[in-house]
Amino acid sequence: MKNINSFQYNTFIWFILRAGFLELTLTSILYNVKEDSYIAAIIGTILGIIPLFILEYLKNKCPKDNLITLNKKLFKSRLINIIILIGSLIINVATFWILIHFANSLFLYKTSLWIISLVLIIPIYYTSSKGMHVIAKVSQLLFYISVILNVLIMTGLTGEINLNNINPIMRSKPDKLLLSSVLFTALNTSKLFFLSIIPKNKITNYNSKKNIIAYILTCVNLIDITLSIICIFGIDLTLLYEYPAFQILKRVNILGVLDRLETILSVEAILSLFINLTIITYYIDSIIKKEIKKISKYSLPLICTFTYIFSNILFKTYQSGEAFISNQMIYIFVIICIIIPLITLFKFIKNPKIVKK
Amino acid sequence: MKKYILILLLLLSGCQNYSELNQLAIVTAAGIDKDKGKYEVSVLIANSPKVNSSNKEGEAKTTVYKAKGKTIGEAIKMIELKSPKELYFSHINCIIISDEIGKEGFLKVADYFMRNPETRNRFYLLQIDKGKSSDVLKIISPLESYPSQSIKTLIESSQTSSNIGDSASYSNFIGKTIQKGYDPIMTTIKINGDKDKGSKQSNLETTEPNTYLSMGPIAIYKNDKFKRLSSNKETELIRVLNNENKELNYSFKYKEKNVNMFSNMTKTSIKLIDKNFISVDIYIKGDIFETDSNVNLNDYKEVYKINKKWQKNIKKDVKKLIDKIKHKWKCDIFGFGNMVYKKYPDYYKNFKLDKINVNVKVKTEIISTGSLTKAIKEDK
Repeated sequence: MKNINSFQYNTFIWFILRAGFLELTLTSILYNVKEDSYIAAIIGTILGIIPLFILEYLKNKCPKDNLITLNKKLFKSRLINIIILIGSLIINVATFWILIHFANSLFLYKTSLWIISLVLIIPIYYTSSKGMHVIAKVSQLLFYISVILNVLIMTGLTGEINLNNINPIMRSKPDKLLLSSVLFTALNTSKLFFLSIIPKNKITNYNSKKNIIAYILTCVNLIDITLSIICIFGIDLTLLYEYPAFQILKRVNILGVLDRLETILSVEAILSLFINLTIITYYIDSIIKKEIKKISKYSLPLICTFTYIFSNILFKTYQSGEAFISNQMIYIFVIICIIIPLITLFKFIKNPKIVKK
Repeated sequence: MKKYILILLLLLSGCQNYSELNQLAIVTAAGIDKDKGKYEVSVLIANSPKVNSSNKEGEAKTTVYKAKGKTIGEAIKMIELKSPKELYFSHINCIIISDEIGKEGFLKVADYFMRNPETRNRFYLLQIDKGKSSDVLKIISPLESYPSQSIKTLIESSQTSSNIGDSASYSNFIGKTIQKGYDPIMTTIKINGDKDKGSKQSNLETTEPNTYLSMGPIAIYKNDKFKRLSSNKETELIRVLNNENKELNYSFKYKEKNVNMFSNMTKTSIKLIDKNFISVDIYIKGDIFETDSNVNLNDYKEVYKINKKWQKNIKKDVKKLIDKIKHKWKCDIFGFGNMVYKKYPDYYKNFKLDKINVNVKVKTEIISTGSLTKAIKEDK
């Protein structure tokens, strides 16, 4: 693996945290806690520091290893990595389904999902096949576009905000609020775990502080988006829409001159999912290359074909997909992205010498 | 080679399900009426070839398709059977409904245009003041190419004097309808003159059009059901209270003579003081625009008195309007209930519109008396 720089690594954090938030997590949170969604996002941000610290700890203690090699050394068995492989494949399918469904319901509603998937899986395959340094460069480039689009969105929406719409505050039950916060952490922050594929020594000028700042800035942006949606639409209108984050883009009006920008601006959401998917695909590819060497030559086409087929046949409607991801997938996310790294962490703390050997 | 195949695959996949512009019928306005228990939907097509070619006398340049169905979707499907081109809703500017649709409950028909991914949520929603909404789509204006554009211009040009764009927006109407403690209002549109003559090219050939469209009073809704129309004076005051009016023209009697005030700045703040107490503060700044009274406008005491009278009259009218809303109309168009819900959500169940106390405070300020110091009168 060629080296990437710490800024590129931070752009990964930006995209991974955003991926799927606008398309799915936000809708689930809004449905659960309504006006208090931004509070759930704040609590979720605080909870998300736990997986971030686990990742940082493992990276700092084992700078030469990624999670796969670390697990191999610690457990001396394939089992953990195979579990991660299966879980990651499911996560990849679900994330890809979010992407194609988003594109299908908003832009290409008359086009077959198979065609949309084909168009989207090709760049994912191509970028992943080029290695982590290419993914990092693409991410860095897309980051600038993403930030510009974000600034345009925020500028174009300022006139629409009505702060009165966030009232009444704290009307949700504490258990629902906590569940939504966990949802935020499990579906978004936990995915940072996929960055464990990049060993610390492959990142020039690696700095944990920078990563924490990147994490906080991204979360602030997500909280800001949540607040903006509630303030602009009011909770009742927000709950009517399948993708409220996209619907507010229809209201963007820059200096009274530029409007009808929703299609260009919503590309921002697609960029996040794209980077996230390339990282997950690369991650799965690395596990296969390490653990199932027989098929390592064809691993990437196999992963992409698997994702392509299953994302099209698993969920027929948005509701079934949303229900599965919010209710069942959350366990897979927690097991793969939080519990397994925690087990690795404890095992490492118990026996740090194995890794050093 | 692999790279080129990938690029080709990426580019060529865009050809699937494409539509050429000349295969689309671009809908710029739609009208919804009720006829014999069915919905009658009319759509105005903007890209009809007639727009560029028709020069025959008496021939309208616009194309309107109409069809009936049990649902809006069914009616639109029927139109698609008549129209040789596929209907395309992305450029829809306004939707006009008849009062019958309003009386039945607008939410019954609201779904189609809100759910359709082609539509934007910034188009206007209007109710026709007497008549069929399909007739509005046929009235051609000498100043605009299409009726839909003429309606849009009508709404947006009046934004220099009032800001009705927001209250006329489709999504805002739905937003207010589904919010707790809010009853929505809808802007109305009127056909002045003969509707049949208005749809003909000859309507453009006279110096004064025989038929034209104008903005009407406000339609007051209870939940999603149309209840009544406001009077012209009430319409203006409702817009002042909703902060939609930038300009206010107000006439009253002073020493038994007429005084006309014109204000170009009005600001209203409605605040919830207590569970049962709301304060309405109105600030109006304006000029004496016209008078036939012989008062000496150089005398500051007289100007002060006129100002007091102006203030008193507006306060009286606003109070009368609010009392009417509370007790007679029983429609919470200013969202008093919503304010209570947002601040005291638990108390909201006990909220009753007629029980709420509203204190109206009006502050007026006369900036100038115009270019004259007194009324023009025979002074021999």
